[in-house]
Amino acid sequence: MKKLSFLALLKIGALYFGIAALVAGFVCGLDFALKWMWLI
Amino acid sequence: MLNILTGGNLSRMSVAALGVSPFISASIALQIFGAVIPRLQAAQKDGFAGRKLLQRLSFIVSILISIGTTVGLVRSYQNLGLFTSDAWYVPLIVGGIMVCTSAVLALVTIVIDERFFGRGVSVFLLAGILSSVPGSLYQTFKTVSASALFGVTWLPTVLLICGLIALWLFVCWILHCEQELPLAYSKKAVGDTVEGGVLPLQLLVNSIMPVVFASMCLSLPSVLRLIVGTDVAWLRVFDTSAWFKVDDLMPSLVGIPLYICLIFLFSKYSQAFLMNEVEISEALRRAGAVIVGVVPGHDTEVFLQKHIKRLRFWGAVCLCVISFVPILASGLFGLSSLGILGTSLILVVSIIRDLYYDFRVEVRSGRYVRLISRMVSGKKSNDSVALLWEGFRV
Repeated sequence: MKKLSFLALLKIGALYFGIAALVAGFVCGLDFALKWMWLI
Repeated sequence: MLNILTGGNLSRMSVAALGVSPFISASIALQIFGAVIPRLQAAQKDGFAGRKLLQRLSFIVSILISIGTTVGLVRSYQNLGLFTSDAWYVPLIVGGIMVCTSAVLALVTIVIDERFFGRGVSVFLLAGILSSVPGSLYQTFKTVSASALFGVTWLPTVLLICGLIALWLFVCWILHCEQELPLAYSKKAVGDTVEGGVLPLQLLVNSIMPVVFASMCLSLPSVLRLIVGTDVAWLRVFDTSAWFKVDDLMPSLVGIPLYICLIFLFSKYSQAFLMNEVEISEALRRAGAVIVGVVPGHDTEVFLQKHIKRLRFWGAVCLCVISFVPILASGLFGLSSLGILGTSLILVVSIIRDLYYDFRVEVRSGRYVRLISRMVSGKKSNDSVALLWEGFRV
């Protein structure tokens, strides 16, 4: 099995979490903005 | 499950209540039928033209699926008394809007597939799931912070954070697990040295399909109960919120082993479609590569079969663990919002991984194209870059 060090795993986990947080922030922000403008 | 796939649109009764779930079901169905219908199998291997045909077929099948689902949902809304008017055209308008919006979303996913990087279905799924995550996490932490463990109020919150981080890292780990078999290329021998490489065999080739399938199979009886409108006691076996109840053990004793068996079987056999030892062996032969220490031909097939079988088994075990641990935690600690976490986590991490890889490929190919453009024209020309870029994309 290909060895994936714990540090590399942490880096991948942090990178993916960052992308997920960005997408979640964008979607929730858009949702909030549209609700604030009474569009939805 | 349908609610997860629509990104919570169904529970919010959005205009696009069905989301892209009919298109996902149609794609999965065509992928499965490809194994038994020769015409579809040929289309799957036919590059650009085959992909176009499959896209068109997926679109048509998705409309048929959305019509079927809409009829069932509208019937269940009638049974629940959600329509305030008895006029005949009200269910027709509601159903029509749901079918039309799901068709528009299917078209948008096809455009994203063709014009941008990543898969359109994945982008919709990711945005839908992540839009409901902050709210459900806030609710979970609010419930957990109000409780105490061994008299310590902060202990449950810390345990929950550690558990979520561990689960996230575990999902990332299994999606990056692969076995590398050493290869030697017979056609690339220079003097005494033979150029080598590796054949990566992934632990999980397709992580989304088995979990989606198992959850859909479990949710189907509940949907049928809504459509029929009668409450049948034994159907609670399929309801995840009825599991881990001390006063009624029947749903737990039957439902949990059934769920684990479904994920295990779907995982093991869906990967058989995607990782075939005969096809890999044939591809190695065409590339002039051999696995170091294994005779090409039948021996390579037997060797690959042994490794792939082991990987499929452990992949299925890992999927069962990820899907089941959050359900166990939600049942034991009464956190209903955690129940769907396993399925959502696998979907989110695998979509982000695919998107990230696609993005890297696009960035690298973009740089490569710009470099060639400069070499050809001798100066930086935006038109030639755009032209080459378009050519590369096609």
